Amino acid sequence: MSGSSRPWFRGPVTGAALLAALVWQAWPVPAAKAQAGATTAVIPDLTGIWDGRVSVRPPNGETVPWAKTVAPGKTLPDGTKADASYVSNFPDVNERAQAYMKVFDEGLSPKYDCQPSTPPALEYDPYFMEIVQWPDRVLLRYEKDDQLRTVWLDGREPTVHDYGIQGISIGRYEGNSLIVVTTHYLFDVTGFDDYNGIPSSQLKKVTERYWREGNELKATVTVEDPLFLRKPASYTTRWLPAPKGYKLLPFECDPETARLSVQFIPSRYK
Amino acid sequence: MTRRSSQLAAVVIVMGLAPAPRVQAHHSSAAAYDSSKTVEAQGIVTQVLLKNPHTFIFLESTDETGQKVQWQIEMQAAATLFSQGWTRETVKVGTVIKVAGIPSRASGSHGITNARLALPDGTPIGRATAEN
Repeated sequence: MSGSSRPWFRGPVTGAALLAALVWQAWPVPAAKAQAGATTAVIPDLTGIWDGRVSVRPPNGETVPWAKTVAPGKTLPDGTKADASYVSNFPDVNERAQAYMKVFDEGLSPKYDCQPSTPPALEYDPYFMEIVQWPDRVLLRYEKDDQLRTVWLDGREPTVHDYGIQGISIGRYEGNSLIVVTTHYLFDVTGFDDYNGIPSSQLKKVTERYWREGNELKATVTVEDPLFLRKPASYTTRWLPAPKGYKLLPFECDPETARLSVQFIPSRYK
Repeated sequence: MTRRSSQLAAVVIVMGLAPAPRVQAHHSSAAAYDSSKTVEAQGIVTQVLLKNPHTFIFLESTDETGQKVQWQIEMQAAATLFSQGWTRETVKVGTVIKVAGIPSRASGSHGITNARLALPDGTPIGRATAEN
């Protein structure tokens, strides 16, 4: 992992951003104070390429990371083992969501036409991802679907112009963590989960907390969506450092092969 | 139930080539494939789409009635296969291979996933598993 490399500030800078950059470079990362809206936050060093493949955490599916039951001893999405006290994290979906789930069929899923996945699914896809920490933003780059999310640390407020497939992400450092709040998503028929056909709406709000535990990167992903969920749902997962020298590969989703799988699925509709 | 296909009119029994352990990725393989069944085939590779989100290998075989069958073997994403050491030379068009895996659900389709690939002499191709 390139976790020890220092973020390097590039591009046009404002006076405040330049000052922040100088402060950033002058302080050792673990001791650096958060520069925007900080209280007593310490900026964690999250920088590097991280491995989220199935060798690191259980593969995603109908019961991962959203599970109604998990047998004691089974590996959880955060790499720990379940015990007898495991509490279901399967979302409490409302009647509207249940209606969508009832009529859903697999071929309807936008992923078969290379539409990128979004949080909370994107973080749990079994691929590498890279984090770059700059003074005024954090970049989350995913090998899956070539997605790049920008987490703004400059105190900006979302506007109606920010609606988009990945919404807009506003971040802050808190304690030893990076907190990311993302809103302004677009409606997505599988925007919560594409294995169980759970939709998400334009009111989806995803809060992510990233922190380090030794050489692990951990994250708790919490989803709120008043149009489909009765209460927030969350999972915790982890990544490990990527093999030394690994660089993200372009995904370049191919529409032809993406939809080939659909022919194997008995369709519910003609 | 096990469906078998023969290649070039020869009856082939694939020995020691059980489907790979079930691993899911990208989409609901349960919707497309029936894990209660297995399928085995041997044939000539006619096309390799080493792509994302999934790799497909097309295999031309001949069934018991003498009809040509084109199997479509759905594999992991090319990005994943590359990270496991696959290259564009691992499976080449024109090669005879055998495959064991899980068959697709839709009537009349000839898909296979969770596939183990091998040369006719049993030599594994790629890693021991090449599951979807």
